[in-house]
Amino acid sequence: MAHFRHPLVAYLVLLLAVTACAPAGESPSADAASRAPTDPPATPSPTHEAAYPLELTDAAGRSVTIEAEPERIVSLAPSNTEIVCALDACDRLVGVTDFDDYPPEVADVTDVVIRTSVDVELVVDAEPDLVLAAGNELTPSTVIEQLDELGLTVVVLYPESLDEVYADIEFVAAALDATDAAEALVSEMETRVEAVETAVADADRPLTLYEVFYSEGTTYTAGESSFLASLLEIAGAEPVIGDAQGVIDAEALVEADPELILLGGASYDQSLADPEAALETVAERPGWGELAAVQSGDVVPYLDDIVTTRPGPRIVDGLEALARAIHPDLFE
Amino acid sequence: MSATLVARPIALGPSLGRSTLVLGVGLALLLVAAAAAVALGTSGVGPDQALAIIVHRVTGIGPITWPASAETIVLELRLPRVVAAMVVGAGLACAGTVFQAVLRNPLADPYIIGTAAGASLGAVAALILPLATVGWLGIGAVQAFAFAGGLGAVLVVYAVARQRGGTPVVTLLLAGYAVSSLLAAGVAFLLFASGDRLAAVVSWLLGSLAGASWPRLAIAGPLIVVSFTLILLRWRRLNALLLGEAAAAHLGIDVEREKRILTGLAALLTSAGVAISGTIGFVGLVVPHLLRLAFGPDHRLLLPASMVYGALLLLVADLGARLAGGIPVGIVTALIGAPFFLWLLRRAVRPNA
Amino acid sequence: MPEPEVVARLSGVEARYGSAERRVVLRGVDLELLRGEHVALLGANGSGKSTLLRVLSGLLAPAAGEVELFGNPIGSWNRGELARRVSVLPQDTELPRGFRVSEVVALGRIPHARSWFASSADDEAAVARALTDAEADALADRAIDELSSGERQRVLVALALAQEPQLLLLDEPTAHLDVAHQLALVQLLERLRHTRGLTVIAVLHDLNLAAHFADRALILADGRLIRASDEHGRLDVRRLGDAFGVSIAEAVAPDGRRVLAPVLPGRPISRIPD
Repeated sequence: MAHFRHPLVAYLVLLLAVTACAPAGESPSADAASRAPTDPPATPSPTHEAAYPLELTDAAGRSVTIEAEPERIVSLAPSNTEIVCALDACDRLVGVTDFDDYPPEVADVTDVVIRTSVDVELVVDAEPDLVLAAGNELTPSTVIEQLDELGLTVVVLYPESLDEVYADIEFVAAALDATDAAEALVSEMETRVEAVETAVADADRPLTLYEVFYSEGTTYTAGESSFLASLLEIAGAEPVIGDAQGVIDAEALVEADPELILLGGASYDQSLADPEAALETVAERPGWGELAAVQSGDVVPYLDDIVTTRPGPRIVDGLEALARAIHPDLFE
Repeated sequence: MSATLVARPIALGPSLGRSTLVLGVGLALLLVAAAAAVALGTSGVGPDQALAIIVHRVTGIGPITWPASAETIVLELRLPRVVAAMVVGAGLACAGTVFQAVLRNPLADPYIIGTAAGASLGAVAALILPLATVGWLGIGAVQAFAFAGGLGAVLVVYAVARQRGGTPVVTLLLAGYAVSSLLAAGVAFLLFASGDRLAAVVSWLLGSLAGASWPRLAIAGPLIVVSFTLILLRWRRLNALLLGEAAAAHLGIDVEREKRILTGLAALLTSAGVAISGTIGFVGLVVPHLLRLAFGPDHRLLLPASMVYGALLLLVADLGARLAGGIPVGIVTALIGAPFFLWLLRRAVRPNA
Repeated sequence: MPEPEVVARLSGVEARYGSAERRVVLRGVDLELLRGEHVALLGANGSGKSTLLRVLSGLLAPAAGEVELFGNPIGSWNRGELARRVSVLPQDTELPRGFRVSEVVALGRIPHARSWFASSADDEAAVARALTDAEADALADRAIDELSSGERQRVLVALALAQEPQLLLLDEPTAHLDVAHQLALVQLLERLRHTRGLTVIAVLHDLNLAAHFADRALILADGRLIRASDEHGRLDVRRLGDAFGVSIAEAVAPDGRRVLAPVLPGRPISRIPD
């Protein structure tokens, strides 16, 4: 416990500990990233630029030490990959998922996650300095544990709001010593968001259903206090909200009676891509024929689901696409 | 008493020669499969590197020509997984053999009197409730709860089925079915309520050796090996039970005590296996049947053979699962086991050639 | 002359079955079996003969009374030791599939097993002897599944004999056996009485066979044991008739032997023509 010899260090570690116990919803990672990095014990205040070793606390409250600037990064989620590439560190990626599709360069990187299964052997084989996992069991906690036990440096990211996306970008930037790039990126994102907010400020807010998926009378949409719900609000709509898992059944939907329906499934399902065909399909669903949106023909195939649901740097692209779909007249 | 000249040798059981052949071939195959499983994987670490790493670890011989990651892959990922597959496979097959004899039911598998349902409930509860996932002694909460759930369920079933004169096998089976159904409903409810944990739960239920690690094996492994040994010693009593409980009693067996001990040991085997790898199906059902068909029902050979060939089956299945993209091994054993089982049923309908 | 050893004794035994054990099957049964005795147990179906054997073998604990085997209360016997002295041929035993005959008979050696893995030469000899005695040596290598019911019965007899018992309890041992084999069985038991002092109590249905086999015959009726033979071992025809509800005729065979036959009522064809 050599760290505690220096009172400043002790104070900082204590602050970190307190932050780690903060309730979910805050962005502990943001605090950690903006705090001065801890010093190695016997050295007095540094005069050079080296920021490592770095102690950070991630979204899962895990405290992680980054020994040196990571040269080999494995990303276990597409959003994490995009963050790394947006910070101009794309060439450091040595492992990604098979879902990763942006930017195009990542197609050449080895897939260490096949469908949803993390191949631990491939992750170890890639010899990463840093592994970016996804929270909320998107990367199973058992796998995170296993990687921990094998001695890898694992960081868990799971942003549930725009602010948290910014925080994650800054967090990764801190780990990669790329804070300047992060600042520029976040600043640009914030500007674009503001532009959307301004544009829709005085417009009507239609009651909008964003359909993520539909099956057997059950619709999957934005859940309570979900990221998607907040995006819809910023984009100038009043979202139809499902339960905690985003599920809404036909009865509740009829009761809500949305004015506008965005079909996120059209991004993947060809049969929903054509507006007329989509309207027909949707009108045949039990109970849907009576919905205001169906009657007025306001059923829109939405083709940008990927960027709307991937909590990475392109989330603002998604926001803008939503705003265009909800208020086509305001955005040429 | 005049000595009776035996005109030709009378076989009292599988001959020593035959047993040696069956077990010898099995062990040889097992060794080959284990070597292959350590030598093969999704990364680039191949057979020569794997061999060199192991040799170096065991004897210290040889210059280190491989990166640390290769050593981690071979010694911390592949090797414990291979050992786990063998230990769990052997345990499940052995437990299946025992249950089939004690319950005198050909459909008996290691999970039949509640182990799977109890273990699943324990594991799912641990996965869903906000419990610490890092446990002491290297056992996670999931493993500990799965183990306790499995054993607990069997105890409940046994207690429910107990009657004054003993524990009739039919009652055991029915109680097992009832308790399993109840626990399965609990699992289903937790699944329904689990939301974001669903993927983790389903993965566990399908059974997977991906999480095998030395700490996990450290407790469950010896438990399984000790249970094996105790069961092996009881081969004569298992044979006697095949004659029925009355006849076994006439042969001097304390039938109720034997049932308790054998059920307990088999439940231990199963629960320990489930704690390591979740509920992997078909191994415990199909291996004993196939071996019985091939080598006869005498437990003197059947028990050790079930261990060897159960280990072999799961090892090969897991290798396949790994190379096929990390699918849960329970899927592979089902793909292998189900057709075999159907074939078995057809044979039973039109008995023998 | 030394007193003949009492191999088994039942005193005032009462046995019950059924829910709340209401059905009384044996009442106040007293029985002594002396070494080397052959006792036939007769009675109508359901009269409790199998129950009596189960009490004797220790499978069923009596509701009242005492059971002694070889001079000691049955409860004091170690199961294994008892199995080395008493063997039972029950009614309707299912033989496990997949075994060969010799392997099944070898199961009878379990009470005598010494080492963990191997069988001893003694075991082999005992199994061979048992197969020969039961006239089943030709069947030794056959699969159990392929046997006829008569062959299966002989295997069961061999199984009981392989235990090398001093007391043998037989429940309808001649079921499924043809006349020749029935006779052979009785002759075997006689031989074993001479060579080993084997004591036998057997449930039999055939009266002539019982007469041929038994030193003493007993009837179980209404839960009580009734003597059905005189001091010379001759069957008491009247008592038997009462027990079965059928009149039993006696005839004399050409060699002077007495033949018993139940007289079935009313069929004209069975009457001797005038």
